[in-house]
Amino acid sequence: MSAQQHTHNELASHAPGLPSPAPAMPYAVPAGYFEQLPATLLERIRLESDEVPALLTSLKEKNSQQPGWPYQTPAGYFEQTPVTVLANKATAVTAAPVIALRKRSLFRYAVAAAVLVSIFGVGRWYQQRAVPDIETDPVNWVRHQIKKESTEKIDSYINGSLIESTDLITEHKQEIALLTKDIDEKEILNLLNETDLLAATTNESDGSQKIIN
Amino acid sequence: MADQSDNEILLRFRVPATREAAFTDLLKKYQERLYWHIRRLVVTHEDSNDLLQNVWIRVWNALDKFREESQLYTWLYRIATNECLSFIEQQKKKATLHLSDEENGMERQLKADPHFDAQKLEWKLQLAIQQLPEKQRVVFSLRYFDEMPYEEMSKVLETSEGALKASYHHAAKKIERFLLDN
Repeated sequence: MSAQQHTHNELASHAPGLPSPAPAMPYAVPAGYFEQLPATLLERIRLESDEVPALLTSLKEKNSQQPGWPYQTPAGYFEQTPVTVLANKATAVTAAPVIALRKRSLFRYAVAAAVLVSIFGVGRWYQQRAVPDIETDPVNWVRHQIKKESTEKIDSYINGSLIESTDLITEHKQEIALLTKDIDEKEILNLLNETDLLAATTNESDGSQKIIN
Repeated sequence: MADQSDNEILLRFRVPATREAAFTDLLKKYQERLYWHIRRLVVTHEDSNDLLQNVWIRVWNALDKFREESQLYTWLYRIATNECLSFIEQQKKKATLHLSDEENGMERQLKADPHFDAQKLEWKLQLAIQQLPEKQRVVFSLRYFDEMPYEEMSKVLETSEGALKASYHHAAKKIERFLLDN
């Protein structure tokens, strides 16, 4: 089977609606295009492969003899340039405007001070307005709880605590009496005198004095 | 026979004295096939002429280094195809910059041809080809118009034969549908 027949059969199975063999190309080509193309191309190739490198070489030689060729500068340009630049520089320095720095800096200080005062003022006001945090600060929590209770309740709580502490002292007194029953009173006094505890105990509450007695 | 002629041309091209004559023979042998391959992808004669000349300049510069591992015409088609795909890519970028649609641009150029006749099958076929993505357009063109074997096509496009068969099948179906609908 020829290649043409093979492609025809393939097309018949894939897309029988397509014409086979392919119809002629409808595009037009300028008259004599294919006849002239080889000569046109060879001319271009000669230009690109021979004339262009030769031209570039000659341009390079010309440029080495005359720097910047084909561009030109005004006569005496390079001799005059340093003088011109220095003259322009001197003119530029004398003509520079004087900037009033002091006025500007005073204004800046005033603005900075106003901003700082505003920040501190707002901070202070905010702090005063702030509600004490009773959940994280234990002191505030205690204050808050005390405020919630009535004065009578607090008084009765304090009295109850005193009664409890009196009971405790009574218990201690009995215990101490039990422990010191075999010890001579003089020995105890001597010990207290040696350790200066006697003077301290005389200034304490009645309960404490009772213990010594 | 054709291979022998290509080899003769190559041998003459490597001799400076016969270089230009050999190149002219090569041009005469393949210029029309390459031209039509290019023209089917880029539509206008002006673009086709520019691309064809660029292809031949590349051939001139690289023919000395051509290794006879593949057939000369496969190598020529490969250069021409790459040149066309680069050109189409550039046109698409330009169209994006100008916020226009390049696919429609090709179709517009086709319809602007002075000989365009929407009723004639050959023009309808060219219009249908312009609806394909550019690589599928190349596959369809090489197989349908140039009747190139898949083995050679795989060398031109550096794609497996299986992928090319599938691509051609899809392209043929799309074109058939377009012709039936229009």
